[in-house]
Parts: sequence; structure tokens; C-alpha cells
Amino acid sequence: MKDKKLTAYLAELGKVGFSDKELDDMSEDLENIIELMDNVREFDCNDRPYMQDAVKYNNLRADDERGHELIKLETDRFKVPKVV
Amino acid sequence: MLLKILRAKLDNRKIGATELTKQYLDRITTVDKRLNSYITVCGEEAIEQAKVAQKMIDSGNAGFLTGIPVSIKDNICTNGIRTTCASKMLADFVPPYDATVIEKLKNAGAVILGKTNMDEFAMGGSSQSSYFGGVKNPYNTTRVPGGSSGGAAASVAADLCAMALGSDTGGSVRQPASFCGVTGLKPTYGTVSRWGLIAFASSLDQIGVISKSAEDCGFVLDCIYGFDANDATTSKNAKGDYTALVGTDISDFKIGLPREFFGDGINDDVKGAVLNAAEYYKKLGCEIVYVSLPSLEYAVSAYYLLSSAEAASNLSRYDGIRYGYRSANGTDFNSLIKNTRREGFGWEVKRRILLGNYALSQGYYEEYYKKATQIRTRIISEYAEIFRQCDVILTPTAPTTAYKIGEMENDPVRMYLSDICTVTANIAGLPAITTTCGYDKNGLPIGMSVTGCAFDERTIIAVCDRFERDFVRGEAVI
Repeated sequence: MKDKKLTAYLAELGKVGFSDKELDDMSEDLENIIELMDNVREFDCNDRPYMQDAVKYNNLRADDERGHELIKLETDRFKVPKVV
Repeated sequence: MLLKILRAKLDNRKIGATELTKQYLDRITTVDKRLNSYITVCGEEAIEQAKVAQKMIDSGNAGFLTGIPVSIKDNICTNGIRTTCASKMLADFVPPYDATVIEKLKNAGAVILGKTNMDEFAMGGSSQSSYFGGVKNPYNTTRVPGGSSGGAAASVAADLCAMALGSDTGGSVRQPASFCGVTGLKPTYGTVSRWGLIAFASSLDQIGVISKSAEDCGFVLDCIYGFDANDATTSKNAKGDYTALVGTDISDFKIGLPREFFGDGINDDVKGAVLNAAEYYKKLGCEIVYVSLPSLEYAVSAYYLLSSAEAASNLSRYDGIRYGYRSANGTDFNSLIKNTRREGFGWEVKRRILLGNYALSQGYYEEYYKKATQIRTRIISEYAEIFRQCDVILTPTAPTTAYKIGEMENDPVRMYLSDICTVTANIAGLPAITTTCGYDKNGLPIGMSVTGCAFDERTIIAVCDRFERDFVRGEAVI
């Protein structure tokens, strides 16, 4: 993938500026790195579920109604005072 | 010097906290110009903290870390002390708050000597990508100290502090501890609060401890662990009392050797030293069990895809608008941001941002990022199976000993592959500790890792400690 166009697109997504020479160098680097990454495509996942975190955690506190200036409109909505 | 010995000296008035701090500061002044392990030295603040610590000791209120001089990796926020992540982007950034771990250390009366050098934004394995210059290994200054917590590890090895805090996303506490001949602990994900740790990859980052012994790591972990309302990923399952099993009989433990960690890519000296350590445990009466982690071959790729994707998101905040470096070359909003990030970030950081965006972008997400998360699930279940067969596993910490400075600079793939021994502990969120188990033919330290079940730091610390009691460790002469 010494694909300068793709590198430029990724740079745009990441909002990182590159000179022309830098784009060339980065394209070469990415080509080699993505070749290493490509082995994941061989992985037989069999629709295995995917996890985004190793350890299940659930320490979120219950919702806590605050602010007397809020007006409860319906069961799941509040009217918030204007800020500006 | 071991923390236990320092504690006794302080408590028995053999040395005062201020005198001890001054000794370390003097040594930093003399020695660190050869290592570059510190970015910021907090001389005056450290002396003031030492005075407070001495009052605690005098009034009988000293805890284990009171008066102990420590170094902090420069990606952990310290109120009023610049925190740079070794990057031009944050070269002048001074946090307005302390990380939770810093608050805990201060409450315990520890003395913060300074902020240690590292790979930029914790991305790297050599501590050479720092905006403030690379770090050198105290064992041999032509060699890397490892990374990204290379400054932390070097500062402990060269006695420029009594212990250090680092961060470990893919091995960044353990690998430099291995290269510098000291002990490094990565706790279970969720054990230590990440509030105030400048994020690299949020599902993998964990603050860890570097010291001269497993027991010392346990003492420090006792201080810094715990649920934190500021960090929703901290767990209430962390047990504490991490030295509870130190000194107990471990002969009924089963120690697993995963076959895939002893393949062709591992240096012969390293393999030999770790297998000798396995023999040591066998002679103690432990059962050695051969186990398997078949998905190891995908681990490095999965790690770099997951971590780079998260990093691409986490580093998007550095835009020169609210804080940090701002380019003088912007003509409009977009060009200001692009130039800021072009000038403010180093090459490795840019590589990871682009790789992360590649993994997440349309057309590639399914084949790369989603696959990486599925590999993560597989690795977690393979470890669960392993720990049905044994209590801990023993592996090399790195495929090699410390390599020469500049050797891997232009070969990122080779550098990434050298993380093979460490990344799975981060992927699975498991605790792992490294200690020195031998020296190669050049006299460089070889590290072995003991990895255990989630929240079972007590066991891995005890197993590691048992080896350390009989192993004669060398010292870096600098």
C-alpha cells in the first residue's frame, strides 16, 4: 500500500499536516506496518463476539437528579434553562 | 536500596527525610547528565515535601512511603509541575491538578523528586523518541533502557530515586524494568486509577510500579490502588494487602510455561535464563505445566490496531486551541490545527495516529479493528483456560536484552514485534510482574515475567519475590 492518496486521506482524518516528502516517507512506513497488521485478516473469528474491554466493570452510579431549576416535562425529559 | 531498608533507616533516625532527599537530588545532578532519565527535577518542592514527611515521622504518623523519594513518569499529571509526555506538544503544559496516584503518594508523605523521561506520549519501546532527548541504560550507556517508561526504570536502576511510577499499555513498565535490571509491576486493569494519567489507549493503559524488588512493588501498590469515582474503569474487586503471601510456602503452586513464548524469535540467552528460573521453581516443589496460547501469533497486530485506534481518538484533543503547543503558521482554523499537529508531534506518534485512523476508517474497520477486538476476546478466553491448569505463567519479558541505541530507529516493524512477550497481559487486563533472572554474554540483564489471574497480584508478587530471595542481582555501576 505505498498509496500516497490513502496516506493523505488518513492524514486528513487525523488533522496532521505533511509535506510531500513526509507523505512519501509515511506511506512507506505504513506499507510495512500494515503488512504486519494484515495477519489479523487470517484470524478465523467464526462470528465470535468482540469485546472492547478486557475486564467487565460496572461502577456507574445511578442517575442523580440535580438542579431545582430543571423542569421535568415528561418521564424522560427535562427543560433546561437558557444559558445565553 | 530496598524500600524496607530505607523505611527502617528513616524510622530509626539513621537518616532524616530531608537529608535523604538531598542525597538523591545531589546524585541526580551528578549522574543524570549521562542518562537523561529526568525531564524535570523538582528540587525545592522535594525538600519541602521532605520537611513535611519528617514531621509525620516525628509525630509517629509515618506510613510505609513517608519520606521515600520517588520519580514519576512524565505522563502523570502533577499539580504545578510541568507534565510534558516527552512531547513538544506539551513542552510547557503545567497541569492544574494532581493525578489520583499523586494525591495518594502525597497523602502518604512520599517525596516527588521529579518527572521522568519517556517515549513521546508513551508510544515506543526504547525511550528514544522523546522531544527532550533519548534516555540511556545505566548498565551500558550505548544501549536503550527500554520504553516507554525508560526514564523511570533507569532512575531506579541508577539509584536516582527509591522507586518510580510508570505506565504500561503494551509492556511499558515491564520491558524497561527488564532492560534495566529492576523489578516492574503492571497491575490488573482497573486496580489503579487512570485519573490524571494522560491517555494513550484507554482500555489498555495502567499505571505501574518500578522498584528493586517484588515486595517493594507490593508495598507501593498498597498505597496507590483502589476504586476512584473519577475513573469509571476502576474496580471494586482490587483486594489490597499485596504482600500478604510474601515469604509463604509456594511449593504447591503450578507454574505454566506457554510454548509459544519460547519460540525461534526469542534470544537463546533469554530462553536459557527463563528456563533456568523454571527449574528453580521446580526444585522448590512447584509443578511445571506446559500450556498454550495459540492466538499469540495475532497478539502484536491486534495490540497495535486496538491501541493505535484508541490513540488516534485520545490524541485528537491536541489541536493548539485550548492548551499546549500552537503553531505560528496557521492561516485559518484547519491549517492552524494541521500545522500544530505536524510541528508538535514526533514521527512515531504520527505513525500511530494514521494507523489508528486506517483501522477505524470505512472499508477497513471490519477487517482490522473489529477483527482485533475478536482476537482480544479469544486471548482472554485462552488465558482463562490456561489459568484453569496453573496458578501463574512464566515467560520472558522481552525477546532480547537491551539493544544498541539507534538499532531499531528506522525499523518500526521490528520494534513492534519486540512487544510480543508483553502485550497479551494488557489485552487481557491481567497483572504481570518482571524481575531479573540472569545476564547475557554482554552482562546485560534478562527479565522474566510472572503473569497471573485478574486481581491476583498477591500471588505473582509472592512467586517473583521467592525467586528474588535466592537470586544474586547485579547493580548498574554509574
